[in-house]
Amino acid sequence: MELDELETRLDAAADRLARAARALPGLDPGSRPFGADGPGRLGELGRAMSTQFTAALDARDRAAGSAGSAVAHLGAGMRHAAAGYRDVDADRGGQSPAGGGA
Amino acid sequence: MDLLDRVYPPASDLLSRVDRALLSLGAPPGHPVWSVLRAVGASPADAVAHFVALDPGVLAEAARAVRTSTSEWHEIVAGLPRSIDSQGVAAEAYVNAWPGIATHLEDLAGGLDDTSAFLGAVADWMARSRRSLAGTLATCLGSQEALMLRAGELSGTSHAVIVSAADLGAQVLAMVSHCLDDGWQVRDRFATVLTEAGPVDRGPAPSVQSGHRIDVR
Repeated sequence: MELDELETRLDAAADRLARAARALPGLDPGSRPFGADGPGRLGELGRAMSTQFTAALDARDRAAGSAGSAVAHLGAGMRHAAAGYRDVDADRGGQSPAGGGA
Repeated sequence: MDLLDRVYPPASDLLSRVDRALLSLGAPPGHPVWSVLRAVGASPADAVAHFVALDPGVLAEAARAVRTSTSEWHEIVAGLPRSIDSQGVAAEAYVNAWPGIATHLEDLAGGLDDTSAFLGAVADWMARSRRSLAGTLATCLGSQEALMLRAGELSGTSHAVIVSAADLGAQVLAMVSHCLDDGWQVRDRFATVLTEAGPVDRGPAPSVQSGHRIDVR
């Protein structure tokens, strides 16, 4: 696989990660199905369950953000490297594709 | 429609009588109903109505949606190569960084699986509680105490009516209290869903070794 193709695949992966991360909050059914509006200790339990679920989703959301940032960073690195190879090829008038490696 | 949906309509009148008797006539000092009232913090009728309103199907459906979303993360991992044919600094940077990113995404998918399992466990707890409560209500409906409450005059001060209401209230709230303990255990058992993934390990920076040479011809 050449760097150009890898760069494209990393960009596509970063886009998918961002989309999947945006979809995470939509998976929260809200506090009511947990019984958060119940009386006494029953409502307390429902709120605790709902809070735990929301916090778990938030943790996954932060993890998705870190992964998206790392993939985008890697993609930018590959893009930078591929551009460098293309510049070297252009300077020496060669036709070899990016990705041969330095 | 589960057992609670079937038992609740005939039981709701009895529960209202129990609540009215407890509120207007009280209960004997030292009766077990006092301790379960404190533990639950709600009257028998309100506590049962709460479980009647809970729908395990909503959370079971949410659990399925979360589980389905994890496949997206696995596909992203599978869509990128573990290594590339190229050699050099860029290729080395990729090969160094990829394992950490892949592990992070797999951990993320695993975390979502756990989150889905938590939702499923809460839905199971709701269904289990509703079944248990339905059994208790069915027992109460056929009891001597229920007969006494239906026949008794709530505005009076018949000791038998007071004790019957307290006994029925204690029986219902004891089951509610048991369901509460069960629910807290479910919540605590899945406290691990709160575990945060650490930062992505991007691997070592690519090395430029002595003797490394770039030929420009």
